[in-house]
Amino acid sequence: MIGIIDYGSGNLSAISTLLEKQKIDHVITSDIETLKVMDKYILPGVGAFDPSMKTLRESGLVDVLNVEVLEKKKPVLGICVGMHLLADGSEEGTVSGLGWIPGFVKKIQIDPTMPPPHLPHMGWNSISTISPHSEFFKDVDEKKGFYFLHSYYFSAEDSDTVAATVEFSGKLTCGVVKENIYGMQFHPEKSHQNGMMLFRNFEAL
Amino acid sequence: MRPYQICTKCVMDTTDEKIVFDEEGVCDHCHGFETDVVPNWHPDEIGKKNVEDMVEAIKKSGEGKEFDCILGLSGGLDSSYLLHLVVTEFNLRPLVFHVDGGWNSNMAVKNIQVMIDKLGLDLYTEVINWEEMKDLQLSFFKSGVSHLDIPQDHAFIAVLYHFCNKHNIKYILNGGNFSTECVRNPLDWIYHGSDVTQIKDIQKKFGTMKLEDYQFSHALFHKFYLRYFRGVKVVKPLNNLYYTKDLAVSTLQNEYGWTPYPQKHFESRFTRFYEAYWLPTRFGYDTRRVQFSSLIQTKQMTREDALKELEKPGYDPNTIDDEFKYIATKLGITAEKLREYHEMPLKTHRDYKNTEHIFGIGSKVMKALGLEASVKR
Repeated sequence: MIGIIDYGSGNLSAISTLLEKQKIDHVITSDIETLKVMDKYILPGVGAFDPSMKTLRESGLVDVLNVEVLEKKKPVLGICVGMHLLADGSEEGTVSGLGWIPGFVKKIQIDPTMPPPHLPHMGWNSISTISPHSEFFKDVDEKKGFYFLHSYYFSAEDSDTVAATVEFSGKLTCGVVKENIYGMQFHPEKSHQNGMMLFRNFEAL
Repeated sequence: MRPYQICTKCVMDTTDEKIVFDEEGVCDHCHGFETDVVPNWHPDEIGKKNVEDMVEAIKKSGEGKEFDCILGLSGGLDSSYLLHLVVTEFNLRPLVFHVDGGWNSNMAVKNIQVMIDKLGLDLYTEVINWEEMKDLQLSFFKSGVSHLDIPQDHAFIAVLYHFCNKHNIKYILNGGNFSTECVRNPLDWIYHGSDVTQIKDIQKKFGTMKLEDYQFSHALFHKFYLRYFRGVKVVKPLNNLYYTKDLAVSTLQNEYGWTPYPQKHFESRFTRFYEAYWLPTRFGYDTRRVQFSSLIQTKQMTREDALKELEKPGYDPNTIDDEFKYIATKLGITAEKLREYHEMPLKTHRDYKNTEHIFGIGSKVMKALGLEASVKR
């Protein structure tokens, strides 16, 4: 059973809808006891880094998640800002992240001499997955890619944790993996077939 | 074939095959403006009162809820200006809803972002299944009809209406307005976007996949069921206050650093290609005629300036080849294939299954009941 962590940030219903379509057991919850019995977690997030991190801390869920994820090694999947929270911190704010995957969230640098892109990076984009993490993207069509909506990205400290990249004003990390901890910049819940595949792969872990 | 004629008051002409002129050469669009639009257009004290009442009703209905209304934001001029008004002047709490059909221009993305950032709002985005959208758009190309933008247009409204139905949202704020769009595209140019029978028939004949995620909204669903059984109201505040294109552009530029588009509807890269290039060069339909005629009716443009503009193509001849390739590549076909579709025999909505007669009856009933100001013809 997957616990979608309801700490007041993120588009929970879209994630839930896609999981339902795949008949993947899940529950949206902010209840500590319920979270403890879950096998896996999805950590969503929208908006800015600081408010999301503060809301997560204020929800009182960080301690229990530290135990379940870091000690019991239950898989967790951070999506978009939920991925950013896995890092040590962000240029977007001042508060510390969860620090589960070494790295820092940075603003995408746009080269003004190059056409076009503007921030945010919004829309579909292809991805490239990186071995040995490609297994997590099994049956995903990399060319079709995923739906993105962001202006900041996860800059991983350890290149071994980079699982996927995307081309937007240069090569950006869009997937990180460290042991049982997964973070994706794109929105699987808005990416139709590929999103379903990714959730299926996450469930199969 | 009837001889060429152009209205003496606006710039509509016989490329609109059903256009009717009076003895002074004034077209039925101009007469329709006087009889249908003017009595329903209130940039005056009546409108002010209407807006006050509307805002009060919306606030009341939203008490205790996170949002009190929904506003579809395309990044275009009308919806962007409406968002500005709704938040800064009406003090409403809209759920800002964006449907991404896969064709947002960079400028649209930037314009959406500057507004969301400055107003401190979250953007709710629904993403259309791109593989299905592409297939449906290609079906429309293969069908030879002129209304190629229906797959996008229909998706936008259908997703919004189904979302409102699912989440029990009672007020939809719509940027539709008489000021910049009182003259409507003739039916033969751009057929009804909510004729689901037509969309399904074209996909059945030319599509290569079943549409599983693409949402449909029958006119009966959104015009009757949602309105009368679910109490969903679509309100168009811009018809009840002073609104002009210049006012909107200058306000948005100054307040948000918003960037104007060269032409209405160009927030979508597909629509830009379709309206500026495809429609005029394949069918001879120039939607600028409709847009300029609206601005002439509402005294924001002179007929002389419109005629001068219409002498130039709506697209940039220097970049059109690249644009042509871009559209083809994004649709997953070669530029040669797209050129084939451009040169194929012309078709109309009447060549495929349709429910035009029902729309005709429905529009007349809506007009008689005062629910719709003008009938598309």
